[in-house]
Amino acid sequence: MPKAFFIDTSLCTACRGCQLACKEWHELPANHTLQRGSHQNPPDLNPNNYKIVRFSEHKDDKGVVSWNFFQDQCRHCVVPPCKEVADMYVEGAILKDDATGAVLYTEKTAQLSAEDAEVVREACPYNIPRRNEETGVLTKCTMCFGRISEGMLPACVKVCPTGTMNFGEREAMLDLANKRLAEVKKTYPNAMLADPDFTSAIYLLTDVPENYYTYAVASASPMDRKRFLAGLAKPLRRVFANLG
Amino acid sequence: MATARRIRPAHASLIDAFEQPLAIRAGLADLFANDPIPLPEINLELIAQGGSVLTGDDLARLEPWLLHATRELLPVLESSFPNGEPFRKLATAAATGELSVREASRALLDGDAAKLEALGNAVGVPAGYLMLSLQMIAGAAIAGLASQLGDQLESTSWSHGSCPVCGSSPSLATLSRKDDVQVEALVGGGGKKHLHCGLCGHSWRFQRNACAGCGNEDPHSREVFYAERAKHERIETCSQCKGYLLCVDLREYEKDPNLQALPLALVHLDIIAQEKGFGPLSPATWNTFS
Repeated sequence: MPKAFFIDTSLCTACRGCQLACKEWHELPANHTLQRGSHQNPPDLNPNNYKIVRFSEHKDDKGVVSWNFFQDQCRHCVVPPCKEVADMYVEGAILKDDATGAVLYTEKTAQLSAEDAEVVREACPYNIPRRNEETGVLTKCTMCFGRISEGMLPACVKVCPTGTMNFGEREAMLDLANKRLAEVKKTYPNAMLADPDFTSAIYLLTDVPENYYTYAVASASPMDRKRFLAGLAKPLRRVFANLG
Repeated sequence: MATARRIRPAHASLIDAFEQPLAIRAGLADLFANDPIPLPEINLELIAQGGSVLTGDDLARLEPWLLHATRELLPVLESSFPNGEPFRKLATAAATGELSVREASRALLDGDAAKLEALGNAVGVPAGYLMLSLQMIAGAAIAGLASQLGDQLESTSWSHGSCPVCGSSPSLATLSRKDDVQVEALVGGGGKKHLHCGLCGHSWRFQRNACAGCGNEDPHSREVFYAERAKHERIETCSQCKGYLLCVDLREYEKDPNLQALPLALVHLDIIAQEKGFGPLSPATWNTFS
C-alpha cells in the first residue's frame, strides 16, 4: 500500500526539527552559510540538505503581515516526471518503489552528465533535485526508505513536536488532510491542499501558494500544471521513441 | 507477522514456522474473550503482595477453553515444525485423558519444571515440546480471561514485574506512543513503559527506571544496548539478577506492531544478550539457544 506524508503547515512553528533530523539521519555534512537576515538557513536545498523549512513574509491588503513556513522536500510524485526523463538517459538511475510510493535516486544518477542531470532537474515541477558537483549524484528526500522499510516513521515525522509532519497509508493521510482542511477553513477561508492527487507529500496551506514559495504547487512553477499533466499522460520517452 | 517479516527478512524461516500457530492462538483468544465464564474474584490483598489473579486457582473454569485450544493448536503445531510427531502424541494423550492439560497448565504457571518433565515423560514427549504446546494453549485461554477481567484489573494499580493475571514474566517491554494531550499546538510526551506477558499477552504499566525481573533501580547495574541505526529496539540488562528484557519504542513505528510476533523479529538481540551472559526473563522456544 503506498504511503504519503501529510504536512499541515497550519501547525508549524518553524522549529526546523524536521530539517535537522533529516540531516542527522542521513549523516549529511554541514554547509558554510552566511547571515542573510533570514531564519531560512541554508537558503536553499542542496546536496547536504534534502529538506529545508522556507520562510516567507507577506503583507495583505489590510496591512496584516503573515509569516508562512513551508517544509520543502520531494513530493514523491505518483507518476514522477524526473524518473520519466532520467530513464531516457540511464535506465534505473531513478526508481519508484511500488510498495511505498517512494521515488528513489540511486548511485547511477552519477552516470548522468551535468547537462542531462539539469534536464532531469528541470522536469521536476517542484524544483527539488540538487546535483552533488563532486560526485555527480542527484540528491533529494529518500522518504527515509531504510526506516520505512522497517516499519519506522521517516526521521522528520518522528521528531515533529507540533503534528505538522504526518506519515502513513496514502488513503489515511488523504482522509486526515481533508478532515484538517475542513477544520482549518473555518479560520482561513483560502486554505487548500496542494496537489493531493498527484503527489505523496500532501501540504495543507492556509494561504495562497504563492505566499509560501514559487514552487509550492506544480501550477505555480514554470512547468505549469497543464504541461505537468500532459507529461504524465504522455511520457517523454515514448515521444522520443516515436521520433526515432 | 507481515511487519515482523518485513523488518527482519533474515528471520523469515523462524517467522514462517510460528505464523500459523500464532494466528490460530490469536483467533482463539478473541473467541474466548467473547465467551462469558464465571470470573475469578480479584483478591486485592493478594494483588497488593504481588500475587496474580490465578495464584492457587485450579483452572477448572478454563478447562473447556484449554481443551478447545488443545484440539485446534496441536495439529497446527505438528504441521508447522519439522519433526512434529511429539505434538501428535500430545494431542492423542490429551484426547484419551492420559495427559491432563489443566494439570500441566497449572504446572506451567507454577514454573514447576520437574512436574512438566514428568508429565512429558509419562506420554513419551520431551519437556520442550510440552512447554511450547502449553504456552500456546494456556496462553490463548488466559488471554481470553484477561480480556474479560478488563476493567477490574485496571483498578488494581498493579506495579509488579510479573503478569497480574497469570504471574508469568514479560516477554517484551514497550515505550508508549506520544500522548494525546488535546492541545493542537503541541504533540509530545509518551515513552511510558508497559510490560507484555510472555504467556497471555496481557499488558500493564511498569516504572521505567527498574528491572522487571528483580525491581533493581540502581542505574549503575542496569544497562541498555542497541544497534547504532536501530535505537528503538533495545536490550535492557540487569547485572543484579543477570536477566534481560527486550524493549521497543513505539514512537518510532508507523503502526503498532503485533506484540506476539515482534519478539521473533528481535532474536538477534536475544543472541547478543545471551552472549553477554544474561538470561531472558521469559524463556521461549525462539530465545533459548543452549
